Amino acid sequence: MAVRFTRIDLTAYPVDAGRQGQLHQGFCQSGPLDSYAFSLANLLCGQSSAPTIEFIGGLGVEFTAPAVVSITGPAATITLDSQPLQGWRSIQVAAGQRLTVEPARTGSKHYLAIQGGFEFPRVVGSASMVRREQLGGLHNDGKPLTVSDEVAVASAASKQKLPGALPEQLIPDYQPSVRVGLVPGYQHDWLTSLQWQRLLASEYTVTPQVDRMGYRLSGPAIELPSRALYSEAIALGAMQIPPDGQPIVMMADRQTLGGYPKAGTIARCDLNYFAQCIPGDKITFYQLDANDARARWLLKQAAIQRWLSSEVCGPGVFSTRFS
Amino acid sequence: MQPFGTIRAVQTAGEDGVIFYTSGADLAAQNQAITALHQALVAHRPHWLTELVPSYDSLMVVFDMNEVDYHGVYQFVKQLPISDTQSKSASTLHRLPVWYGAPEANDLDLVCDATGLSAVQVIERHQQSAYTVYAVGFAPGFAYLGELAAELAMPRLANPRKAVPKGAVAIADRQTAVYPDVSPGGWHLLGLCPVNLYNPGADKPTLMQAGDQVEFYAISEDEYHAWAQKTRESA
Repeated sequence: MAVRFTRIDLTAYPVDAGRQGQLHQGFCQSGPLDSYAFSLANLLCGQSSAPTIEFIGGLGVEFTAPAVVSITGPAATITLDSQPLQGWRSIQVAAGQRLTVEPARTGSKHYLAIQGGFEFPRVVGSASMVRREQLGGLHNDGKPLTVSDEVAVASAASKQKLPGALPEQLIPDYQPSVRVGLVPGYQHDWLTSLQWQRLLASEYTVTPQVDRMGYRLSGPAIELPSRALYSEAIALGAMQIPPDGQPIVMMADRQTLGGYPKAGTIARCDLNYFAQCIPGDKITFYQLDANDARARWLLKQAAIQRWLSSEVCGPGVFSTRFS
Repeated sequence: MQPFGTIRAVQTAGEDGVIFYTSGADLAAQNQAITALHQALVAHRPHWLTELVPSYDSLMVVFDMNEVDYHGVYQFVKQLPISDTQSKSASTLHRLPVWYGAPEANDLDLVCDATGLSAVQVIERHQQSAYTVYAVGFAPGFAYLGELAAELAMPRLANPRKAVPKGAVAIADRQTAVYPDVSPGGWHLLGLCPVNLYNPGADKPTLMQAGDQVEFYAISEDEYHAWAQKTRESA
């Protein structure tokens, strides 16, 4: 069983849950930018975190055998042969059928999952491709997929009953203007209380400098005192403040260490909305302490777990852990 | 979260991370305290631990939010028995051969101009110290080694190289390093090391770990080529 890529408008490459326990060796975490959409794409195919295609721009694929797939992400036009379909649900495809996805907005990230998972080389415990490290991908050289590539699909562990469509409330309402939680941390006390208030009251714009390493924002500059700071570990979603005062939010392929001061991190429960922003989108921040941010994340996981327990095969089959 | 023992500050690093900063008379002492804390956490490896990322004077602890919150992590670390003496003796010593002045990796002229030392003196000074791995980052297996003799402290290159060769031995400020693979870089280069520091397919993909000790010694061009050949064959 294989999937042939017949159309890739911008880019498409494999992601899984990312590398675990490798940061101390200098390997970046990697994994999906929108880990919520990634997790749900897999759950809709009856698995938890199999290698999946993250893609930007239109995508076309053809199947050599029957399969179960799902597409998640922001709004997109999805067709199977010429029949229109919805995202965020399981899709049964027959051999020879063609699936196309045309995102409504160029730059948003979408996920194509398939039951059994795509087969890609695994490096340091992960099938996620990292361009900067020249690791992962079909030829393990850190290069994305190209048109006419064929990717094998692993056979599913067993004939599992698939969950139906997600309840409406579990489908994210992605917007071009996003309000995200900011958890104070790291060098947050380098900001005066006036600077904090200003950061929380201001609107920042996503600049064209966005990639899997980080998203650069522009808005009122945050001018910090220049103090010595040794390079230190950079958490997922950390907001770096470089000398020009324009924040950079560090994403999945961020380097493991860095020496810029950090005001805090984007709350994990909101990070997928932030990750889906494209240049020109507007960001505002609200302050969220680490306890509240954790509680919101746990509630989100619990909601997914309730859906799975009620829809599919009872509790305990799926892991409750998502990255 | 209040300071305690050798910990001068504690901050959250996201809702699933806590970063500990150490105190000490100098960077070497601060880093020694990080190594001790790191080793204690590795030895006790709590079930909620997902990542430990040590650096110069800090250690980030990442945890599974299903299992614990940051208060629990802080309390666990606070009661952890930390031995200050085990760290140095337990650390691994790497002795790395260097072909100093290898033409593909030779900024000795620039270093001599800036420091007023002769090439022979620069090469001697670089071999004189045992260095500590303060951090591994920037790229897989890239180990920041300190502290370099003050007289060898160099600024970054005005124009960073697009491609520093694999194995290049480099200096910047009071640090030295070996590039594990071809990469862009702005450090001044002293020579080439034929030891493979990075093998992404291996169980242990990187040779050097934070807290390890490193010494350099000079080899000839012929010895370099023989060693490099051996490394290629075993890869």
